[in-house]
Amino acid sequence: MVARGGFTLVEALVALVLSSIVVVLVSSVFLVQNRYYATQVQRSGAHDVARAATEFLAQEVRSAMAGGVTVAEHDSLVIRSPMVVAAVCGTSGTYAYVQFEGGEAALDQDAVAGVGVYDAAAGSWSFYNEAWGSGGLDGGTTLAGVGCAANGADTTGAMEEFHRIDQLTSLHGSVPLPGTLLTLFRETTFTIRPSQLAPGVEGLFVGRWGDTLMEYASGLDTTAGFQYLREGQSAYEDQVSGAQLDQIDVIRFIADARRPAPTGGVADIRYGWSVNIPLRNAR
Amino acid sequence: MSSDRSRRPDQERGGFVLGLVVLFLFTIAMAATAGYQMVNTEFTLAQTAREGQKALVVARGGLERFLGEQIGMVGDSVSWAIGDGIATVTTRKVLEADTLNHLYYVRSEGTVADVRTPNDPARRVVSTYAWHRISPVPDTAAIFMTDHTLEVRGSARVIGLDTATVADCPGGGTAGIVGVASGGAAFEFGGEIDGNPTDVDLGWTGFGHVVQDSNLRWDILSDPSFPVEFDGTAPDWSTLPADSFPLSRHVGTLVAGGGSSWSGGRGTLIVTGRFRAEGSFRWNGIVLAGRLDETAPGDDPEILGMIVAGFNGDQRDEILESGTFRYHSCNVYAANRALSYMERVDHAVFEVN
Repeated sequence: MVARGGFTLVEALVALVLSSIVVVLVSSVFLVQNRYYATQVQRSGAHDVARAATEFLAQEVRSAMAGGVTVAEHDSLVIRSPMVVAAVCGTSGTYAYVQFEGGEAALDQDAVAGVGVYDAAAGSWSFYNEAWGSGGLDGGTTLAGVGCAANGADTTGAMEEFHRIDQLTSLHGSVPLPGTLLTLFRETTFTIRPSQLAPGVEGLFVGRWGDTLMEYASGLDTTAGFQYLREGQSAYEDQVSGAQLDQIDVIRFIADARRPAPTGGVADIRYGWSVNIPLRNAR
Repeated sequence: MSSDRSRRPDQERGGFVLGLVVLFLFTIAMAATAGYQMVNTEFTLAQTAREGQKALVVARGGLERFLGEQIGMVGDSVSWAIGDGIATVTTRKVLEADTLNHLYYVRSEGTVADVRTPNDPARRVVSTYAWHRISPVPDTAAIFMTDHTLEVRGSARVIGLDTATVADCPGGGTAGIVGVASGGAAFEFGGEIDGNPTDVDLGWTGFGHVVQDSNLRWDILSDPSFPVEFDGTAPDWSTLPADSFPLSRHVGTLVAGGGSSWSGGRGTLIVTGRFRAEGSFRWNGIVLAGRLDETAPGDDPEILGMIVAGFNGDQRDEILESGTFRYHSCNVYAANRALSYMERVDHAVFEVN
């Protein structure tokens, strides 16, 4: 009865030791797993930051025309990227009738920073900053399709793609002739500076022309930045200014991301790449 | 009672261990699930981004291919399988600057469907503007050749005055063009050279001016891989509409007429080598030849349109002893349309989405 009813001290100690070993082993596994998970979360976050910043930037930069870069510094880039490219298919007084895909409905008028006019003979664009609807640059659809159809445009089923742009005379000096290309562009500023959302790291701030910059991606490293390759050059530069801005062929974005070390970690999580984005319309 | 008490500690210990195991398994399962979700989300994002990039490449490829290969009249839509996707190119005319230069909006949509998302393929659209150059070969002369001497003898006639009238086509009945244009020399030895404003224009100095001034990419047109409507053999004219002026090509030397399958026809005839007209060969349109060969006495070939020759750089002094080579503005215009091409407006490729 006594033997069956309890444990000896030795039995209790053995059980305690074995239980402790099991608890320690399992806890270790759990902690390792947890740390690995936290590391992956941070790494994934860094990856997201780098990718999001890269994709957004690349799309803005790729379509930029020659002369579309107005600020080119290591931590700051200002670029005019086309929202639409349109062809003048007719004129009337101070109006230029143009065609562009989607028409006015597809145009984010609030984002229009200005208009560019292409000089085919010179092979260059002239840009004029003017907000849409401010009086210097405005539009509408009145008679645009009819005016273009009179010049041979196929408006069948797409009358809404034809648009009227007003008062180019005050900006460009004259109404562009039929066949001239125009672009309505947005001017976007990209700046890398200390993050407001994640202290200790850098953030990519993005803003439209005239607007306050917003933090688009948080978690960039101090090594992140922009570099520029000019026409005929073989080395990238951290800064380009003046007349050399028109010579920029490629913009490199060094998308280095950094996240604080997870609990228990000793080193920050770093992840990044650099991507060379050609300005396809520059040359 | 004693037996119940003796079992209770065993049951309590067992329950505690089971609970611990369940707790650990639950924790590990939660961590694994969260990890899987995260990895899966990352994978999906990366996959979407990659397919979007592929679709952009496909769209760009379609646009480039269309602008590079388009020759002749512009169709409404064409699709190609490119890489992992399909490019669909559509056009819309936005301006007729004049009768020979039309501006088109060219739109290329690239789609890449993944096996996991067959109904929601990645789509990217790029567009640009391009001029349709409807009449790329300028109406220069009835015979336009490189720096060599052309002698017109016997019954041969080279006439730049327009054979066509306004009744043949709108714009027909022009004042005509030069008879012979060359950087060499041209002589009448019993034959006839006539034209407007002059019979012979020798101002085309410099070898290769034909290549430069004809606005044609001879290297492309003469490349066997360049698609033409009829290659190597003459069309069966009985099956073609009377108003068709197709693009035909013969690789190498062509002795037209005189037993050749090329007894006549219309449109634009590309002869990559030497071109010699014999017998009663008849052609309405443009002949583009690497080299123009002589004609023999007694033959009676007739070309109503234009000859542009010397593209291969091996042109020699030639003698035309027979034949009528006469400018016909309507035939030239119609034949030119088969050579019309798209010329992209520089710096205007735009990513629509």
